[in-house]
Amino acid sequence: MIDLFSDLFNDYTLRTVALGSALLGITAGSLGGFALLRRQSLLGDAISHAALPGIAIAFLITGSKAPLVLILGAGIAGWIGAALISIVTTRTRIKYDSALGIMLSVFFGFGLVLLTYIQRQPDANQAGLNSFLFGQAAALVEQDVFVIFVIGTLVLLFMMVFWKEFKLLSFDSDFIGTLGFPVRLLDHLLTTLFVIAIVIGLQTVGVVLMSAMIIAPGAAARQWTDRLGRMIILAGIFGAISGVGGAITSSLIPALPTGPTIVLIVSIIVMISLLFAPNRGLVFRKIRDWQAGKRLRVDAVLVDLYTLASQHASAEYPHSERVLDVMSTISGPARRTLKVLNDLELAKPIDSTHWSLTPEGVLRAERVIERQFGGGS
Amino acid sequence: MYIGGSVKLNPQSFMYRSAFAFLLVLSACQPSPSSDVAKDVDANNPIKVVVTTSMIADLVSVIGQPFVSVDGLMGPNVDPHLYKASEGDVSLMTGADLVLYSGLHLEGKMVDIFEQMERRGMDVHALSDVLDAEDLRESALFVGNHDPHIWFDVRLWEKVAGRVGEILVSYDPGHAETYRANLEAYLGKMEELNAWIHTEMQRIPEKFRVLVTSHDAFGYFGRAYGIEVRGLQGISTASEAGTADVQELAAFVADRKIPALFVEASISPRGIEAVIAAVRNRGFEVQIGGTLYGDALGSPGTDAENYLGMVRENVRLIVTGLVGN
Amino acid sequence: MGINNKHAMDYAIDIRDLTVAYREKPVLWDVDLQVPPGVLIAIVGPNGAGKTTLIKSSLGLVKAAAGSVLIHGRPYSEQRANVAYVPQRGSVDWDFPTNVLDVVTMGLYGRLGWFKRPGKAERIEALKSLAQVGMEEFTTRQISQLSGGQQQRVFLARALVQDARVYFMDEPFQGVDAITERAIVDLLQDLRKQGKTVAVVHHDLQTVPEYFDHVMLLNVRRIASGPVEEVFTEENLRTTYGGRVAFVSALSAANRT
Repeated sequence: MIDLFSDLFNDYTLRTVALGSALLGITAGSLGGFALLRRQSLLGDAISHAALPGIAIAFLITGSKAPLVLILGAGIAGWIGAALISIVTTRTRIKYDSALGIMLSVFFGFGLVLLTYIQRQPDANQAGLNSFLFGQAAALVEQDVFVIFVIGTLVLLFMMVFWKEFKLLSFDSDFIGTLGFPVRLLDHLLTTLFVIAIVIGLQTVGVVLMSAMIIAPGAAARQWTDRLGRMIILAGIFGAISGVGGAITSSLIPALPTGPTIVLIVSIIVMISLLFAPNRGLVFRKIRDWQAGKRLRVDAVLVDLYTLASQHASAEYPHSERVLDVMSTISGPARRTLKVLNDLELAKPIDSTHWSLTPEGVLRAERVIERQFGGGS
Repeated sequence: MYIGGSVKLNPQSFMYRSAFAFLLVLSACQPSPSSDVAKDVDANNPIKVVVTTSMIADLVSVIGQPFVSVDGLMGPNVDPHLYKASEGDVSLMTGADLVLYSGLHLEGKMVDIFEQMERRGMDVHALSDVLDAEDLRESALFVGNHDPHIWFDVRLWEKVAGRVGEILVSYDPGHAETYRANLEAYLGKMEELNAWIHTEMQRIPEKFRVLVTSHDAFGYFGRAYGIEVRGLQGISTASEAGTADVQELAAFVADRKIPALFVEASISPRGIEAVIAAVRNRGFEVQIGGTLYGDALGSPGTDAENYLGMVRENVRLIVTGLVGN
Repeated sequence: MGINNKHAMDYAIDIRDLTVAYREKPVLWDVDLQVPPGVLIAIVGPNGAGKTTLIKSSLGLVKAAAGSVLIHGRPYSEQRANVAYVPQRGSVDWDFPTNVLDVVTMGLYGRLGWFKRPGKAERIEALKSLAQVGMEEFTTRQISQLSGGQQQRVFLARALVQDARVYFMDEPFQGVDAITERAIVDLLQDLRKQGKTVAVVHHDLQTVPEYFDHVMLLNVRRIASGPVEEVFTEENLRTTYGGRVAFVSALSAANRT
């Protein structure tokens, strides 16, 4: 373990891959958080797929395999894809998700056709264009990481400067228009930052898997907090953890590709968040529902006992379980709930089948009734 | 057909059943678009052979001349592991007299197509079939599969050349003489090459006898000519190198102080460059010894445009790079 | 345009010839609306009448094919600081990670302009508005945990904090409990007393005479607008709603009492 930690700093490859992947995770995760809130998560998927023909065309035009050139091509294609989706949605009857699907398939298919054509050209495979499908994180060198760092920092800087504008834009785009802010411009700006965040990561996890890095960290972060600032920061952190985790894991196991490993880790984070986050997590919700159900049944039987007893002289007049079973509108035998009441010392068994309220139980029943029928909340 | 119980051989039903059976057999024997019967071959009407890699194209041209017209699907510097056949390729193959491919999943993305063509009764041959089990190298990672880069052991490629001659002779017995003569001549040259390689490789000092390349293409070369081989990616370029692979290779190169690494013409050099950067960080400068021809011949006009030239060029680069200064 | 400037200055809201089309189908056709200052006006009409579109196109959120909108004599684009908008409650995702105070503070973003972050002064303003709608106890509450009435009040506070002269509200009483409804009406009438002008898209014909002093009947075209006593007649209602006689008669009967 200590070896691993020192490796992280001393071993060039691990350090570089981990840093590059972490930076990518932070940038993609943060912007993906905003995309999530704007219901644009799948747009990230469409943009990253749309980037493929851009990479191919950039190579065909310039003949260069420099990452910056290819990333620029990817960015332009991705932006065009996003713009087309917007145009199609507003000008035609085609719905948003259909437009996404169409753009994604058409662009990606076109990209594959171009790649197939390119593979027949001599020297073309030198560009390693195919590696943009699934990324080649292990081949990151310091220059690549430097580029990711500079661009990523710029993107995050813009995000922070325009924080309140982006917040309101995501929450209520009509309202922000009435305040005098140029809505279209802000939307384009946020989309551009989004596209940039996506394309700088393409050499790490590739076109096909990039959507996971956009969607997952934000979705996971949403589960843990109700404050926008914390959510975006947490999304960045989750992205970083996935990046570093993926690098480390694939450094421990030979022939384990880094990009897919990163995506696996972020997926695990999402699963854990969906299940176990307090408040929003499924497991906790189930527990809370179950607890609420129990409380409801307890209150119901308590009130039933009280109501039955009210027809007799004493509020502690005993009644049989059967009667309670019949009275109760909540399914399930009353016996179980009566046992709980017994534990809470609100009811006691008189004999094997009859139960009555304790004085404490009487008070409680009265309070429940008052709460239900007396005041409003 | 035994139906069970006693069967009364009704003459009429027998006729129908025979007719049915006959039709069945007839439909199964789909004639291949080019007839099974060898056509009349001469220099003006050559055998149309469609092959996959440029190495095979070269081989068939040499042995079959002047009675073959060869179409290679994969040009120079094209990666056969990732090559996906287009509709044009398929129709080219369907219209051919002979289809020859390397096999052992070298043309990884075309396996289905070849299976289909075999089922349809076309004249399709996997050249690597001529090799025995002892000839082949097992893949460590993909159990049950073999290393398909057979052409780098000249002796093995000689067997493949023989197979090509066999196929041509059986297709066109009329010109068997020519084919056999071509084959003899070429085998002579290959033996020369083989001897030359052995001599050259001796020049590399024992401690530097390591060939580090982009992918595991040189396994047979290493086994035949006594050099340790390490590839960054596995046997197929379809698999991606992981961080551990880069680290291990870098550690290995730095420890042994290997003077040169080699990239391949059909593969992006980024992986090897990352290894070099890592090695530099360990305090050792390693060079790129040159661009080897891994999975394909070089462009026409270069020394590597045919098999003999390609192998010679590879060996020259390897020896120069590793002899050290 | 040929508008007599003196007359233009008399109106808080002066909409002329407003036409909005959606795929060649008219949603608003040649609509005029003049609202004097200090008036509480209801905008009513059947579904699809263009009520929301009227507000949205006046505020430049939807492109108009033709028409002009003046606020206190000047084009709306110059008067943004004087106009506040309360959109429909359903137009927003209430699961957004933010709290009550934050939402109300958003109303001040226009005043802050680009890049500036809200500070202590903004916080005080926001708290004041929240107190006006009776939500000062809820500042840190997640908006997803609010009831319908509470959400509506938060939206109102966000508009109030802008301290505008003209307010446009889209169905502020929709899905709101009786107590909140009463509170909102009081608030609106308070605004009117301060000389502000409030235009409200309203869905409940029954309460128009009780809550509002002016009303506009809209069904793609302007049917009628003006003081409730003059305009809210059975005939106008029938024209607007297409002659569901019983329903309309019952209404005007209620109106007359």
